Parts: sequence; C-alpha cells; structure tokens
Amino acid sequence: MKDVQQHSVEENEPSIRSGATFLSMWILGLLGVLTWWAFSYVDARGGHFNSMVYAPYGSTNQLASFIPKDETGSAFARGKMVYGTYCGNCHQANGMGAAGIAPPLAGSEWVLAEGPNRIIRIPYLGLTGPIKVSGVEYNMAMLAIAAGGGMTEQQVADVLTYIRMDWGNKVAAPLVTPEQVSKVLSEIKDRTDPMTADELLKLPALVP
Amino acid sequence: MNHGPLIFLGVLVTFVMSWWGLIFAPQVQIGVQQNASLVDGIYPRPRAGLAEQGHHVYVANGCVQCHSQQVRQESYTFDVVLTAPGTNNEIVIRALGKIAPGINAGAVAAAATDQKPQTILTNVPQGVADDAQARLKKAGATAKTLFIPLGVDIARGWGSRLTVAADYLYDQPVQVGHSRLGPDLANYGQRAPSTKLILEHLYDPRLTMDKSLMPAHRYLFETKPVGKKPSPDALALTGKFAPPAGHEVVPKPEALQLVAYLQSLRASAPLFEAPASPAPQP
Repeated sequence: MKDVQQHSVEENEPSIRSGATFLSMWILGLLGVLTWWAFSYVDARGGHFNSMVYAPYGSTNQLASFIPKDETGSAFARGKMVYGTYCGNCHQANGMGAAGIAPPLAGSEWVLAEGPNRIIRIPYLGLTGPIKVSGVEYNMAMLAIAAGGGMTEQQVADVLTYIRMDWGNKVAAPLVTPEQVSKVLSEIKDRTDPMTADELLKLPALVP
Repeated sequence: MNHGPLIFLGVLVTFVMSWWGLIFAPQVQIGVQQNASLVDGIYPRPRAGLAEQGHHVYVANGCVQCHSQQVRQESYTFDVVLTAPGTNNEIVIRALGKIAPGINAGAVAAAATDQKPQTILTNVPQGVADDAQARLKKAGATAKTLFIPLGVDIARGWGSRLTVAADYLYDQPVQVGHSRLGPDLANYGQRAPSTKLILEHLYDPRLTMDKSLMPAHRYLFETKPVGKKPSPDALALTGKFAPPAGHEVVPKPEALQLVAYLQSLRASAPLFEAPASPAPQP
C-alpha cells in the first residue's frame, strides 16, 4: 500500500516545461461575443453617457418626448394662464372681445401681423382713440396693464405668443421672446402717453 | 535585468486610467451642472443662512451614516386626464367610450374642469396616452397626459421623482448617503411636521415615534433652570422625558440650524432629466 502511494505522488508531480501554448479559439470567440453584447447593452441603455440621462431613462430624445413639446408649446400653456389673469376679463376667454368693452383678438389683423413689434407696445403703454379691427371701428381706451412691472417680460412674451396661436389664429412664427419684449421696452422707455392706431401703423410689424 | 522603467510605466498607466475613469470622466460628464430655470424661478436655489449652517451641523453629526438623500426610480407610466369636455358632448362621450370603455363617460365629461381634471386612463404606455389625447383633441375636448414616475421609494412617499446631480448643486459636501437605517431625507422639507415636532424628535426620537432607532441628540439642547419667565423656545416635555423640577430644555442654535436645513430639503421640482407631473391639487 505504502509503495503504491509513493508511486502515484511521483506521477502527479507537475513537470516543468518551457515554451508557449495556444489559447483555445472557442474561448476567444466567447470573449468576443460577450464583449460585443456588453458594448451593445451599454449603447442601448447608457444614453451616450449624457449627464442629462439617468436610469430608467434611455436617451435625451426619450426624455424630450415626455416634456410638453417645444418652447412655443410651453409659452402657449403659460400664456393661457396669463391671459386668464390679465386679459380675459375684457377680451373674453374666447378672444372675441365684447361690444363696448374690448375689440376681438381672434382673427384681428393686429394680432396676425407678421411680427409682434406693434402689439408688444400695447400692454406697456395702453391704447387710445379709434382703431379698426376686422373691419369694425372701435373707439375705447385700454389701460397700460403691464406698465411699471405689472407683468414680467416673460409673461408679456408668453401671452402675446398665446393670442397669436389660439382661437384659430395662425402666424408663421408665433413665438414672442422676452428678448424681443425688452428690445421694444428700451425703445419706449421715455414714453408715458398711450399709443394710437395711427402711430402703431407707422411702425414695422417685425421687431427690428 | 533592469525592469525599473517598465514597472514605473505600468504603475503610471494604472493610476492614470483610474484617475481618468473616476475623476476626469465624471467631471466632464456632470461637472458643469447649472440651475434650471423653471416657470416659477430657478432650481435649485442656494440655501438661506440658517439652513446653510444647518447643513454643516448635519455633516458634523454624521446624519449621513443612517439617512440617505437619494430617491430611486425604477420605471414610469402615464395617466390621461380630461380637463375640458369642449362643446360637442355627444362626440366626446363617444370618443371616451372608445378610449376607456370602463368609465362612465357621461359623468366624466360633465364633471371635467381645469380645477377638477377627471382621470380617464391610468397606468398606460406613452403611445396609448398620446393616442387618447389626440383622439379627444379631435373631438374638441382638452386632455392632459400626466407623467408618473414609479418606484419603491416613490411609493413610500419619499419623493415624486428620482434624484439627479442637479439636486445637489449647493451641497458641499454632498450627503447622498449609503445606508438607510432611517428614512430617506431628500424631500423631508415637504413632509416635515412643525418645527416643534422636529425639535422634539431630535431631543428624543421616542417622543414622536415609539420604536424609532435614532439616537437621542440631547447635546443639541440645553437643560437649565427656569428664569423669571419660561423661555418661549422651551420644549413641552412630560413624563419620563421631563427635565428635573424647576428646569427647562431649550434648543441650542445648532438644533435650530439643523431644523432649518431639514425643512429646506426638497428635491421635487420637475427637471428635464427627471420629469414628473405635478400632483393634482386637492
């Protein structure tokens, strides 16, 4: 018994050899497949390492689809709230105005002008005297509702965007930006008198 | 054989690689976080004085050992609510019947207003929600799609969305936390009880919660003899928590700072990277 044990230990002793041996091709292939899978996994779920993308979201495009559309869309939503607070009492929620109170905004050529240059002045300075809207002559006075910080520039921009989009109003580029509002504001900073329709018509429709 | 240069290069490459992966890449990725401008102002805002001091008290006391400040989110879903039924009742009711056969279309259309949106669909994928919204728009009604984040933390009421890097913009050092022996505090300011109750909880957690594991933080309070008049800040303690006769327990400034910090914790503003629909107003 002792003899046999001695013998087997000697057999199992590893022999020292020099030289190289080849890696099995199937291991290499398996590693390749695993690497490919890992890369495509990260590619599909990593959001391109964008700092705005966190699990469980996959990409910025996916996140953008959750946000209420574009800037025009959100300006519309904000502007609708502003309109309800400041404008809707006279111009009405449906934008049709009311006889003896305010002219309509829906379908009004003043609102549908190419640019907002004229209508930005109205909430800041007010409007007085005769004005023709959709073929009807009105002669009333509008208060300078946004003057003296009554509304923020963002609010004015949002509400003007809104009236250029709702009630079937369609303008090629409806978005009014706060930058446009502050540009116009710097032009009218010395004026306190209300605007008149004639003066407005002399101005270009687009904000210069 | 002189392997010095080779070993030096190997060590250098190893260190450069870990520096690249752990410091440089994250810095490029999230090092340029900025406040987001939301409809009602910027988010996040720097903390006010007392709350900022409270942040240091929070750090000094190692609150981070047991409390995390990170809400996790596993998935999301969509709800559709009707906010205005429009003018053509008949067509809207027919559209509602097609979208959600289970609901009482007539009652829903009659009750829907901006203030009281009526739920039409819950827990649906985005495509179904968008489809329902488009269908109702065609019928003249106004519907909104609500984005609802889901997850165990959110189900526990610890927040309305996942926490992202922008939420920690003014935390130095950031107190994300690594274990949850206590509840998550990322939105504690939103669910926090009154200042008095938080102070009592700090003095002895068993006062407000029977089986709380949290250690008592009595060193944030001072037990002193009552002066001519009792202090207005003194805690109202009774029974086994009461101080010796003729004494009162008054919070030290640190305790008040910590409470101000806890009340300032709210990470729920919807951001681009962490969208969430605001909870409907009750």
